[in-house]
Amino acid sequence: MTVLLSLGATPSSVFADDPIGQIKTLSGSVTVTRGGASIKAAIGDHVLQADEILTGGDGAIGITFADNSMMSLGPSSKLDLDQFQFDTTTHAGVFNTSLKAGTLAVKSGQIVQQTPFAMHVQTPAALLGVRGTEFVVRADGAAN
Amino acid sequence: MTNASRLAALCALSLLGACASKANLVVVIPEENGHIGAVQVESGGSTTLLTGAYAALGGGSGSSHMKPVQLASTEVGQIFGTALSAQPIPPKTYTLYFINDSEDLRPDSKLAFEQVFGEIARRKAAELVVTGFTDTMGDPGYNDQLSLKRAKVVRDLFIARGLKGEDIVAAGRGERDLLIPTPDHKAEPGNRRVEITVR
Repeated sequence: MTVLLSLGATPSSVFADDPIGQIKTLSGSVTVTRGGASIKAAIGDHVLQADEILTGGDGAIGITFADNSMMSLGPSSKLDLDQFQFDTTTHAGVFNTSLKAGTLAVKSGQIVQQTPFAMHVQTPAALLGVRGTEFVVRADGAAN
Repeated sequence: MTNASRLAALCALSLLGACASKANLVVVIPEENGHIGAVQVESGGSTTLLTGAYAALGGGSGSSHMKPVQLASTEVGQIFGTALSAQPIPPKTYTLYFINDSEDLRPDSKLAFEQVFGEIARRKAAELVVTGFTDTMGDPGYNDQLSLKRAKVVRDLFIARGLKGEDIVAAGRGERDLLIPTPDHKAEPGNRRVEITVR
C-alpha cells in the first residue's frame, strides 16, 4: 500500500464522563441516580460510570454497554455501575458493578472475551469474577 | 423423585445443614449456542468456580460463604423471569468487504449494508459500532490506524444515509481477530474488512 494517510486520531478509550451504555428496554418505574440527582430513565438514554440504577416494584430495565455486554434488572433492584473502562482497539478494560438488591441478568462482552475475570459483580454475599458468559444474580438487600 | 425434589424434601425436614437460603443466588445460564460459562465466586473466604447449566450457589449471609443449591429451571424462571425478559436484543454483526482496497463495497456487501437499516428498525434505540480490520501487511501500529480510517469511511456512509453521528462509534482493531489466520506480512483480502455491529 503506497497511500500516505494523515492520521491524527489515536485509538480511543472510554473516559470518565463518556457514555458507557444505552438503555434498550424499560418497563414500570426506573430511576438513574447521577451525582446526587435522580433522573427518570428512558429508552435511548445513556448511562455513565458511577450511575446507580434503581427499579421500582413494577420496574425492569435492560442496558447494552460499550463492549456489547448486557445487563438487565428485575423489580425492586439496585445496581451501581462502579467502574467501566474499555479500549475499542485492544478490547482491554475493566467492568465492575455492585448489585445491592434485587435480580440481575448478565451477558458478558468483549472485555471478558479479551481478559477473563476483568468483569466483577459485588453482591452482599459474594464477589463474582466473570469468565463468561451468561448468569443471573439475586441480592438480599433493600432497594430504597 | 428427581435429585432436586429429593434435596428439597430433605431441606424441608432439616436433615441437611447445607441447605442454603435462596435469598442470595448466583446461577449460570446455558447459552443459545450451547456454550456453558463460568463465574468465580468469592464468598466468606471461600472461592468456587461455578460452571455448568443451572449450577447455583445460595446463602452467604453474615460470615458464612455461599454453598451449592439445587435450582430447577422453572424456579430460575420464577425468580429471574422479569430480569431475563428485560434483556436487550443481542447485538448483530454484518461484515463488509471492499473492491481491491477501493472505497467501493463489493456487491454482496452492498446488500449487507442495506440489511443494517432493517436491523436498526427492529430496535427502539439502536447504536452502530463500525470496526475496521486489516491483514498482516504493514506493522501493527500502522494497521491500527489504517483500520480506524476504513471504519470512519464506512461511518460516513451511514451518516450520508441519515444516521446520526453520535449514534455511530468507529473503531479500528488493526490486525487483531484475523478472519483468515495467516503469518505476519501476508496479504489476505479476506482479512481486510469492516464489521458493522447494530446494538
